[in-house]
Amino acid sequence: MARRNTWSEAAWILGFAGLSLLMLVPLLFMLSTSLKYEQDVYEYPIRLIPASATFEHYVDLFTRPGVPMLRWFFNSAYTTFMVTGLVLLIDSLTAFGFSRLDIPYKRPLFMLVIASMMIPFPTTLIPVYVFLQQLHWIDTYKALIIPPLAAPFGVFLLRQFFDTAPKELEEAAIIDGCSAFGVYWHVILPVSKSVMATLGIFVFMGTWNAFLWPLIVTHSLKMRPIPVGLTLFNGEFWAERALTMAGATVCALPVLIAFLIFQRHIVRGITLTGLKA
Amino acid sequence: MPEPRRRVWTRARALNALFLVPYLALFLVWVIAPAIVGLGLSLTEWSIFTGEMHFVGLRNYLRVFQDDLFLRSLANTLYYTALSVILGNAFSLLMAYGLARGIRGKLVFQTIFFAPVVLSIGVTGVVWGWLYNGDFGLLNYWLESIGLPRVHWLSNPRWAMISVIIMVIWAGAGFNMMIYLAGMLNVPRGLYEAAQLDGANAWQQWIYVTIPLMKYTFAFTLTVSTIGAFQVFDQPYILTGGGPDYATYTLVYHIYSNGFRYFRIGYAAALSYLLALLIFGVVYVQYRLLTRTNVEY
Repeated sequence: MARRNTWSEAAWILGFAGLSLLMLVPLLFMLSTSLKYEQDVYEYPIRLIPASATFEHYVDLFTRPGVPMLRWFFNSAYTTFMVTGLVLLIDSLTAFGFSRLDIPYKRPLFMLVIASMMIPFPTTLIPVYVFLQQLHWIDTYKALIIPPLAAPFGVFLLRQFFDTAPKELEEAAIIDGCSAFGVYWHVILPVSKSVMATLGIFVFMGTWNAFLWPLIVTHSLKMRPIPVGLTLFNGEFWAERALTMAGATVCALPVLIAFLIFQRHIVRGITLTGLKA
Repeated sequence: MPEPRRRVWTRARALNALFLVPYLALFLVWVIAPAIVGLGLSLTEWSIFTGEMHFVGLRNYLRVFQDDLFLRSLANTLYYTALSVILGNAFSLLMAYGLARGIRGKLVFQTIFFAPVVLSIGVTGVVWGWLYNGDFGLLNYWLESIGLPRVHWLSNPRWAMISVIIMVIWAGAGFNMMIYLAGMLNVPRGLYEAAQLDGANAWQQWIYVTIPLMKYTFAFTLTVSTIGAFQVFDQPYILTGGGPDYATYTLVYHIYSNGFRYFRIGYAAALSYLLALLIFGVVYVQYRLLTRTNVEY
């Protein structure tokens, strides 16, 4: 598609520049509202670039009684860190087993894991909630961290990758007397950094952004992660839009930064899952 | 003489199986067991307060036909799915098509178009709630500045679902854009050159080369977006609370209300199995239709 027609290229660039501005408006509006003085928030005509800016709402966000923002931030960070780390460890062990080791019944077991990806998330929500309640795990970090580890996506993605990795190094390692775990640790993991980064960034974003799951398994204000906590502003603090937008900015910033750093891995992950289908 | 039976479990194989144990234990407890228990629950009436449980057979499944809110949520979900899947994918395709031409600044555009995908619905929801605000929102301010009347985006039942869909497309179209882009860049260049030699214009190249070759890409994106659309909940929950007048009340919203507000566990479980059946059915038909025609080249 590399027909270089200058006029049509100029038209596309112009059109996309306009579209880009439009796509950025919600984020700009969020940022600009969060930086406005209270009296400027409801001024008309609306200014996308505030006349004068202040950080007072960000300070307010972390100090206001009744808004445990610091705790929400910790909840999100802790949950995300634990889920991402554990998924990388558990899924890579499993995918390695499925891909390389001689294990009875591994083929039907793998088929079962893959088939479970067809079950819509809301379908198991009710029974999982009942389990958590029986275990008295509702409103705990365990409920936020442990059930999401059973998601099959990572096992699927990593096995795909391990299946295509060359076997020569491994064979050499086995001849040198390396155990199965040694092969996993010293041979497979070092060559899988890129796909592990891809999986890691997906799990990081998925966990940091999760909404329905934490909405259901946490009840108290102090156990909420940021995205769910933010909706508090839609109710109780409705009048304080600048505070709300400051909260949204704080929630958006870590993932936007991660996205800019790991964009290559994200794109690769998406195209991998898309093309394999 | 029959071959001696090989032992299934040797020491080495048992040790190998340890690699699978952590995941399979989680999988059993949090995926397989809930899927089975949920089916059981859907055949009962269970009060979570008194602990009383009665077997009611298929009554929960039959009850949906008398449940006006279920029928309403079903209609809303179908409406949402049709519009968001078609418009969203059209938008993704348009963006991917421009990027695939290799225009200058491609990476910048791609980054901006994709960025909303990484945001939490918590962020997207509160920001768009503010944009849509009837009195102080930016959208109505713009409409007014070009001489159009204000729109009650979230408080008018006719506009509420449209508002949800616009937000969803903004937030999600970048994802399928990436998949389409990869698909387009995968089409061998020689085919376009051959088509050009045959005198095909850009539109004909698109119809006769790109679309047939991207059949499986389309099947994938449309199937995955349909599955996702049927499960819509977070967006209307945050933006409109299912209202006004149940205009954005969806199937998963109905499951959520029954299960976690009214604690009708049995009924909510039955609803969630119906949702799964509905998704399987629609996706099966859709996938068959999309991959039916054969490509010859």
